[in-house]
This record gives sequence, C-alpha cells and structure tokens, in this order.
Amino acid sequence: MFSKSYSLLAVLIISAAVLTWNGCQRDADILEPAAYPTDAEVFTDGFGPGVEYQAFGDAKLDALQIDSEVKYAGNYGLKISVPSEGYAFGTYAGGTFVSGSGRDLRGYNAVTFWAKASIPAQINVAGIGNDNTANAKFTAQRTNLPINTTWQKYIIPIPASGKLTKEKGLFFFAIANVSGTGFEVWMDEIKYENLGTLAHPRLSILSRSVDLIAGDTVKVNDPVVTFDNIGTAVTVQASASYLTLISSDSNVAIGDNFGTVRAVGAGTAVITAKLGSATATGTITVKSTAAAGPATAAPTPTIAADKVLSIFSDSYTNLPVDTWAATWGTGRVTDTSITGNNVKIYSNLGFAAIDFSNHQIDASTMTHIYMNMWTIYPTTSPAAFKIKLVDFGPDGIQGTMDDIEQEVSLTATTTPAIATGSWVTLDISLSEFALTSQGNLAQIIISGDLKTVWLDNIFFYKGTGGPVTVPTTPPPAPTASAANVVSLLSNYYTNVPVETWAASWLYSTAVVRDRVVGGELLKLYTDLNFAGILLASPIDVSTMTRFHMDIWTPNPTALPKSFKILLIDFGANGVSGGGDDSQHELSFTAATTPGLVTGSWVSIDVPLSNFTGLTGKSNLAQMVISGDLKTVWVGNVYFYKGGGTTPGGPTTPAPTPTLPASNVISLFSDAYTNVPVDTWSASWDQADLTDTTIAGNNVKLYRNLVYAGVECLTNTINATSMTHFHMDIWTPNATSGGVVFKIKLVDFGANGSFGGGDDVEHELTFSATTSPALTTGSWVSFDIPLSSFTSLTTKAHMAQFIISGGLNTVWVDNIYFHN
Amino acid sequence: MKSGKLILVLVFNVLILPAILVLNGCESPAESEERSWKLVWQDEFNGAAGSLPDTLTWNFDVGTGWGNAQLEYDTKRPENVSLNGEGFLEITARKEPYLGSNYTSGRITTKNNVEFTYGKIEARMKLPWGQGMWPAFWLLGADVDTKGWPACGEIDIMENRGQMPARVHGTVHGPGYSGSAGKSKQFDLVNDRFDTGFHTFAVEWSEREIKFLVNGILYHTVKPEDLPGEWVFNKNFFIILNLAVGGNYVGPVGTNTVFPQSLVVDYVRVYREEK
Repeated sequence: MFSKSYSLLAVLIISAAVLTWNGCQRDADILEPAAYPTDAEVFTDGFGPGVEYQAFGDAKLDALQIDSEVKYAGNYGLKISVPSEGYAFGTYAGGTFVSGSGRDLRGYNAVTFWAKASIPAQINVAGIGNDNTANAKFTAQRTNLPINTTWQKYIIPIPASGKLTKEKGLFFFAIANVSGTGFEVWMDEIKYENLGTLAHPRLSILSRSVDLIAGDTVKVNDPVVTFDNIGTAVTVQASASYLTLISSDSNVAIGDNFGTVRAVGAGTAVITAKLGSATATGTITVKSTAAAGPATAAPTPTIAADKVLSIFSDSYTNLPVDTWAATWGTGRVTDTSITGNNVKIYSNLGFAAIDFSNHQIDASTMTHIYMNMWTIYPTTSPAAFKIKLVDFGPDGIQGTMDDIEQEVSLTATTTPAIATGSWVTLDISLSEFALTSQGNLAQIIISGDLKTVWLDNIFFYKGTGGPVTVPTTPPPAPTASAANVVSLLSNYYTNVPVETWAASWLYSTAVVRDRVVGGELLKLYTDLNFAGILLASPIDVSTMTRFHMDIWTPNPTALPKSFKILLIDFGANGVSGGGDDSQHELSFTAATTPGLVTGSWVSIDVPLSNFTGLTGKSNLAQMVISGDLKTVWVGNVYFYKGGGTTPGGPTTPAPTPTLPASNVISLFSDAYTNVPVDTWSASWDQADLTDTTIAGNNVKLYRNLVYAGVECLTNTINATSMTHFHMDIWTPNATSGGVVFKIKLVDFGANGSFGGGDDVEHELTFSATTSPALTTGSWVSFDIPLSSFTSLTTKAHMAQFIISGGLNTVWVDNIYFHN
Repeated sequence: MKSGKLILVLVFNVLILPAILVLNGCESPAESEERSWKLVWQDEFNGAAGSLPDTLTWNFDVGTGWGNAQLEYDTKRPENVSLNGEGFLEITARKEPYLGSNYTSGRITTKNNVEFTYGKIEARMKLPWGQGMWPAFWLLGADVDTKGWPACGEIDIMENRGQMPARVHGTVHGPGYSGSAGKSKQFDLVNDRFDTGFHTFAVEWSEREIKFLVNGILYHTVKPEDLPGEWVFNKNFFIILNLAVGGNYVGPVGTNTVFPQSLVVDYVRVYREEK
C-alpha cells in the first residue's frame, strides 16, 4: 500500500493501532504461512487491533471523529459530520476501515453496527471488502439504508465468508447530505459477528449464451444476494469474486475465483454459479470454438550448433529423451508439424515432465536454456508459465541429498515475457535457476496456468557470460546475542513478520525467491532494480545500534557498481505520511567499507547512526534495496546492539594449528587436508548442525545439542601412531555450576566394523574445574593425550566421535589426531 | 423399538417395555423441575429412502382444507411423505397442480395406533421456511370423532409460521378456548433459527398441567385454572405431524417461498414419568 515513489490519494489516518500478533508464536521456520488475525472488532470502544480509518479521496477528510458524548455502548463512539452542499473540502462523508495485515474472517457471516443520525436520512452505502486500493476483490454493500434519530442495528451479510482469508477492507460507508443540508451520524459497535439469524442466501446471475474462441473470457455479472434474517430480507450487492463457478465441462470452459469464465477448448459448457451452498438462478452457456494453433513455425534458432545441447529442434542434432510427458504429470503430449517443422503440443497442463534421467545432460558449461512457446491461453499477469530444471547431483542418482531442482516462473511482465497467440522465445540465463549442480540434468518440468502450449527448439546453450555461480557456503554465522537483536531474516534468531520481500511496486522488476544454502535460509533477488521489503507492522529499533545484512552477488562489482540500502521509519503515527516519516539510504561500492566483492559473502555491518536521515527509529517499517547488482543473495538481516551478558558467537576463528601436517590426521580443519568423514551429524543424534564460517574460517556449529555423532564408518581412522586428540570449541552458554561437556571416542576394534565384541570406547567429561576448563565466550582448546581415554584399548579403526553434555550451542573447529 | 397397532392405555406402568432412563438436561433456570422419564414409544424413522413411514403406526390424512383454508392437498405419496434413508422423516410441500389444489404436502397421525394419556411427547425437527409454510407437531383428543372439535381438545406442541423462522407457538385448544382464543405462548430463539438446524419440541403433560418446552427450555405452562373452559386433557390423545401451505394461520404463500421444502423429523418419542 505504501511505496517509495507513490502515495495514495489523499488519505487521512486518524488512528492506527499497531498490529499485534495475538498468540502467534513464530518459530525459526519462517516459511510457515502467516496466520492472519481473526479479530472481530472494527470500532467498538476504539479502533480494533490493526485498524486504521482512511477517508475516501473526494470525501470530507476530517468527517470522522471519536466521540465520548454520544455512543451506543462503552465510553466512545464515532461521530460522522456529513458536509452540506458547497463545502469546499469534500462533497460527502465516507471512508473505509482497513486492517493493515488483513484478517481471517471465515468465522463470521456479517459485519454489524449501530447507528443514528441528527435528522432522518440515509446511509447511502455501507459495506465490506473495500481496502481503498484498486485490488479490492470481495466487496459487498448495502445501499440507501434509512437512518433516524434513534439507535438501530444494521447488518451487512458476508456473501460467502469462506473467501475472506486475509481481507483488509473491514467496513466502509458513504453518506451524502439531505437536500443540500449536512448533518451528523453516530456509529458504534462496528464488528464482525456470526449471526445464527441469517440464512438462505438467494441470488441470480444474468442468464446468457456466449460464443467464444478458446482463450476468450466473459465476466459474470456481480450478483445481488438476498439473505433472510428471521423473516426480513437483507440484500447486498456482492462482487462476482464471491461466486464459485462450476463448469459442466472443464475442457470447454472454466471459471476462475474472480468471476471470470474462460473458454479453453471446443464444445459447449454450462457455467453454474454458487455462493457457498446456494446455487444462483441463471447460467452462462459457453459455446466455444477451438482456437487454431500457430500458423507459422517457430523462429529458427541462430545459436551455433557447437554451443548447443538440444533435446528438441529441427535445427540441431537432438540428445535422447526417455519420455516427453512422464506418466506422473497431468499433461499430454502430441507430436505435430507446421509447414514441415516438428512441434510438440502439451495439453491438460497441470504439469508435464520431460524426463531424460537415463540420458542425463551435463550442462555444466552451458549458460542458457532456450525454448519457443505458443499458447492461445490468456497470459495477462498473474498467469504464469513455469519451467523447472531438475538435476540429480554429482552422483547422478534421483532421491539423494545432492539432488537440486529450481523453477523459474514467467509471466507477461517478466523477461522473457509470455504472450498469447504468438511464438515467444524463452531464452533464460541458467543463473535465473541458480542450480547448485547442473552436470546431471535429468528433467524439465513445465507447468502453470496455460492449459495448452506448443513447444519447439528446446535446448541448452553456451552463451556470453561464464558458468553460473552461486554461493556454496552460507553467510557467516551472526555473533550478536539473541537478546540484543531484532531480526528480519536469520535462522539464528526469531524473525519479525515481513509482509513481503519484494513489494509489487510499479517499476520494480525484482523477483525474490527463497533459497537454502548450507542449512541457512536466504533470499535470492534476480532482476533487481529496486525491491521494497515491507514489515507486517512497524518495529522499534530505537535501542539498536547497528544494522546487519549479508549479501552475495555473482555480478561485477568494480566501481562504479553500487548496492544501496534505504531504511524508512513511519514516525510516531506509525503509518506512511503525516509529516513524521524519516529515511536514509546508504550506498556501498567496491571502495566503501565494507566493499562489494563478486562471488563472496559481504557482511554489511554498519552503525545505525550512519543512516543520518533516519531520525525516527521506533516505527521502522520498510527497507528498499537497489543498485546495479541484478542478482543478489541476502541473508542475516537484523538490527542489533552491543553488550549484553550472553555473547552470540565467536568473532575470531579458533587459533590456527601449528603442527606440521605430517604429524596430523585431521577430520576438520582449514589448516590441513581432511580425511573423509561420513557424517558430522549422524541420523541418530540430537543436534542441529550448520556449516558456517568465522572471518572466512570454516567451523561446525552445533545447536540444540544433546549429543552429536561424527562417523567415519566408510574409512575408519588408524590412530595407532597418534598420541593426542585435538578439538577447539566455543560456547555462549554458561559453563559454571557443574555444566559438563563430554567427548567420546569409539574404535571398532580389529574387525573394523561395529559389533563383534571387539568395539571399545571411552568418554571424558569436562567442566569449568577440569583441565582444560570450559569457559563461556572464548575458544577452548582440548588437546588430550589418547592415553587419557583409558578404555580405548585399540585405535586402529577409529569410527565414531560423540560430543554431548550441557552446552546447548557449540562452535567446533580443528578436530584432529596428532603425535 | 416400534410398536404397530399398539394402543397405549391410560396407565403407563402396566406396559412392560425396555426402559431407557432419560434425564432432563439442566441448561436453563427456566427449565421444568427434574423428573425421571421412561421411554415407552418412539419412531426414529429408520428405513429405506423413499419408503413411507410405518403404516402400522401412521395414518395418512388425505385431502385438503382441514377447516383452516389450507391450500395444499395432503397425499399418501412418497413424494410428500417418506423416509430419507438417513434416519429422518420428510414431509415435503410441493408446488404442483393436484386434484384441484396448487400444492401438495402431507399429514400423518397415530390415531387408533398410538394413543396415550400423560407423559412427555417430544420430536426433534428442522422446519421449512418462507411465507406460507405452516409446519405443526400436535396432539388431538382420541374421541374427536364422537365429541367433535374443540370439545375433544388439542395440544399444539409446535406450530410455526415460515415467515418467522425463529419463533414457534405452543397452544392448547378446547371448549371455550379454541381457534384464536387458544391458550398460546410463543418461544423465540436468540441468534438462531428453526430452519437451519434441528431443535427439540416437547410437552410434559400430567393430570393438572401441560408444560411446553423447546430445546428443554420451559416457556409455557397451562393448568386447569388458567382456562376459560373445561379441562379436557385427562384422556387419550394421538399425534399429528403435518406441513400445511397457506391457510388462516400463515396467510398466502410468499413469492420467494421455496418449493419443494420439507419438515424434517429426526424422531418422535413418548415417555412416561417415573414416580
């Protein structure tokens, strides 16, 4: 609703209660869908949670006041001053009560209110579903409601409340003068209710028969819906979006969720409209003629054959494909030709998988995927055509941990764009997919809203630009204590709700996707020119001192390329505008501190005071990232302050080992070549492992540690020539009061495998009073004679190493045997 | 348990029937005092979809008018009276020309089959709605053929006007208090209505008192001293279920009234009081 460069029509905000997330405890899994509040109150004895009033643009802006004198119940009501004819600042009183977050109103069937007026008059319009944007989908309104000088209760039924899962427009009204004379209206107790007295909606749609060509649409008229309220008819004018459209033949015509019927194939279909369980009288009969396919063949590709790996094109030699439409997809494929040029027609999408698992394609040197697509289906945004690439990973086996699949969604507004009725060339950089492996491509899966597409010239090619680069490690682990952090995006903290990571602002081309690297959740921005990050509700960062954001880009960063971060605070009124907003933008280049780097994580960690124009910090509401970097991975976005009693994590790496490599068998250390380890967190253990870095040094971070098992079962370690076991640990947890940390070594004995009666193990326990002693907030080096593991009588087949104890969080580095 | 051709006689406790103890709930301060009720007769309307209710229990009053200017012709067709196969009886009003009437519906009674004196008589029902719908669950004196009406007495456990879907009436009629002079009271649901869900309707009838209840809530009590005429309720009565269309009580059928529509009956049960 608010944007950097665009503000609404005149909007007067007279109240804005900060949204509270009632009882909605957010855990670390920020992918969990947000629960929308179910509050009933719009205005009872004050504005309901998260409700603000916005006067309509041409209405008297200050018509609405909170009134303590005249009210129906409680201490306060609303007084509405309807202007007389000729009033210069608004021709009527009207506006809407908006929930910033949207509400889940499925538990209600009406909004009700009490009202009276200073003279007999009428409420010209009262309704729901108007959020004061052009996007309002679910409006329903009653008109010309008589109002007189005594309090009366008014009911506005929700035509079908099952549709209102996140409605922002809670209640709106418009009242005009009577014969030119202004007057007062009082309203009170505006709230959602589930009325047992409302039943039996009846409605009709205009019956008609329409001739369409497949792909064409026809709009269902907005229905008038009449409910019975214990014997009294209550009529609302409802948006057609409330209707559920049912087709007698979905291969001929289909209805969408917003009152539009679309012909999709040849034949006749009858569309019936339902509102909840009530069926409208009237039907729409669609007589549809199949659309012709493309009249001409797709354009001939011009990429040189030696740069191409093709699976379907008359212009190239094609690689083998197992199936063009795997049976587990919904799509059907038909082979045809246009003026001698072979084409594939996919129908009944759904989705269809082109599977070449048995002939995997090594596209590791390729930079683009290319295909031509033609459809008769409407491609008006948000209709999408999606292409997913599936790579089975270096092992080439489906279903293993190294599989990767990523999808790109194309619409009429993306680059490349999809279009209706003409061949489009979908020439897409593989960096859009950001696959971490593309040497074992096995499937291309097409899906989306286009039920039938014609495809030609499907191939990968090596174009300009190097192979795709993506971050292979997560950003460094944050070090600030959770108590000192307000986080937007980090697995290490509880994150505040973010409404969107890329606001749908005019001119913003940014596309944001969730990506996980090394267990960390990241946001991948592509086509970034600028992107608005909107918080679900303003946050107070006034006590914070620094701002942190980790970024990674594959793009060139040499001067004058820049990356900019704009912070916006809405000021004391908590909403955009009102004269108290403040903002400041910082720009980073290769020459700033920190400096932009290509292909490495850059930690932007700057004093909040650097945002000099950001004079308010109590209602921080938006962030805008922009600049020259088209592709940016973002992680660990948070505000923090120094100090606190509990450190977050180490800021410096563990001491670098100094022993010569010839004296060492290392499991994990940047200082040595490491022996193979099967797992750093066995399936049977109880710990969450993250691979992370500290100042570029790799470390293992164990969180929620009860016990963690490290296994070298495939290649057991012969430590017979070794005398010591070494490990560095760092914990933020308290280490006094009997807290222990345990290290167990297990040898599988002469038979080299588990069991057989020859396994031996020994566990050592450390505390604040042992040597070495556990300490909080600094690296502790364990360098333990293997002779201390007294029960460990054999050492030729060291196979497991288990850490456990009372430390919940432990960073671990430099794990090796030495002599 | 269903007993055809069973005439329940005046003194219940000579009958040997499986006893099911049913205690009143305690939902409302207006509820009648706690009593023990023993189930002595019931029809749960279990049976195949489209079949008539048990004709050993139920008689079909076929015809029209019934002295109330009702518009429907009541038939003995499954289209008007049948079980729905899910444990419910449906008395269905239809808009169709039939033997000179413009509507059909149904009216069934237990006359000569199930007649009784005193007890708790209860039905669980969902009502139709709309101007002109007139569902009723009522008792009529078994001597109606000899004494005539209103001398035989009538106990209207539930009458509803479809145009007022949250309101029902409980009424007794007798000599000197019949028709619009019947001893009547209304019950209004709060934030609910009778045509969107099932509700129970009952009378607790004893020698000197008839209590009317909806959903276990007592709203109307009639005693001999309340009546301007003779108390004629110390003898056998039988049960009537019907759905009238139009007539004196409800007026004409509304233009928006939906047809077909049904009075849906989950059960009818008769209890005697345990002393």
